[in-house]
Amino acid sequence: MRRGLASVVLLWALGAHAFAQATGGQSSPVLLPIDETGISALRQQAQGRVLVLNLWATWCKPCVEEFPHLVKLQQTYASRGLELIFISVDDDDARTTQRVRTFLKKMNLHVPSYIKKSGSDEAFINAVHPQWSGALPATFVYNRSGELVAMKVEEVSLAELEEIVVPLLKQ
Amino acid sequence: MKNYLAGAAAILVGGLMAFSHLVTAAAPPAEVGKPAPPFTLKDVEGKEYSLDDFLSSKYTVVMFIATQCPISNDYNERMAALYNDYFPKQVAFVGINSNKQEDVEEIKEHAAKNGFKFPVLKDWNNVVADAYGAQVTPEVFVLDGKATVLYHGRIDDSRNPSKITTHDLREALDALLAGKAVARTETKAFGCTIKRVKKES
Repeated sequence: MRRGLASVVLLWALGAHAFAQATGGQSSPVLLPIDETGISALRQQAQGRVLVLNLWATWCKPCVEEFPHLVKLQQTYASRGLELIFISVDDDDARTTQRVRTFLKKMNLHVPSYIKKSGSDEAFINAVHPQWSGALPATFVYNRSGELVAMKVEEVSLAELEEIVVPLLKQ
Repeated sequence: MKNYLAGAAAILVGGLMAFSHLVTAAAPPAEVGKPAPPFTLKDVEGKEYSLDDFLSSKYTVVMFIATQCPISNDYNERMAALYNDYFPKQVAFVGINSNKQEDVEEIKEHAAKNGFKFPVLKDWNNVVADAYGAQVTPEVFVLDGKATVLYHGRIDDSRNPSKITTHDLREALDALLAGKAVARTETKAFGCTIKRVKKES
């Protein structure tokens, strides 16, 4: 029963994500809960597109500093097949979630993003990638076949990301 | 069977080699069960310390910490308490700051403000962080008297003290002091990247 419900929630989340991408987004940032089981579904759903997965938190200064570069990347390349998914690993309590929403609104992000549900951080880290230490910021780039082609565990610039992403978009 | 294993190993090694150039954060060179790299660094007063200076204790806890990382700072009280609880049991503690933007004066003020009784050493150019493969703050390594790594990872499983479910570092030290093996030798938690200097590859 729990699994059934979880699947329904995940399908709704993925549907909402696809809808917002297709419609160009909404004025209020959509923030969807995600746990370790949702990570692989996100990757599967993005196949056929180049996926950039960014793990961030409001407490992480370099994450906050690089965020506008990532938004710019999404805005520039979404029409060419780029999907950028932000996952906040902030606490999912009401006060922190509101802080995340406020930040997303300030960043003018018009695609849904995710916030990690409370639960094991380690399981979540390993679901993203077993070689990831959990250090933030972390950005993972996958090609259209869903293969990991870059893992950056540091603040990244728009130029660095373009260097990785643009050739993949041409494939 | 042998051929199969050799083939599987070749694929694994090949895969890792292909993958390695993509990964800026490599697997830690200071591995559990193997000796940790030696180091010599200065503390905030300019006093030199080598890893060997700590190894006369039963165990040594090497902690990669920061002054500006909110997660590392959430652990300041816990680190001070760990020292108070375990130093009398012959466990040595040493803090290492490898962040390029955190200078000695800042580290000195931070240590004094938080009541750290253990030395905090400045790791210029993140040489020791690289040698240990440390990626995140806070991140700890527990060593025995021969510098063998017995535990590597987090202090506990939540930055928020009210949400802790496993006190991993304490559990590792308690087990070792009781003459038992560490149950979980590798753990992970979210934290801040160690801010490294750019080096020519």
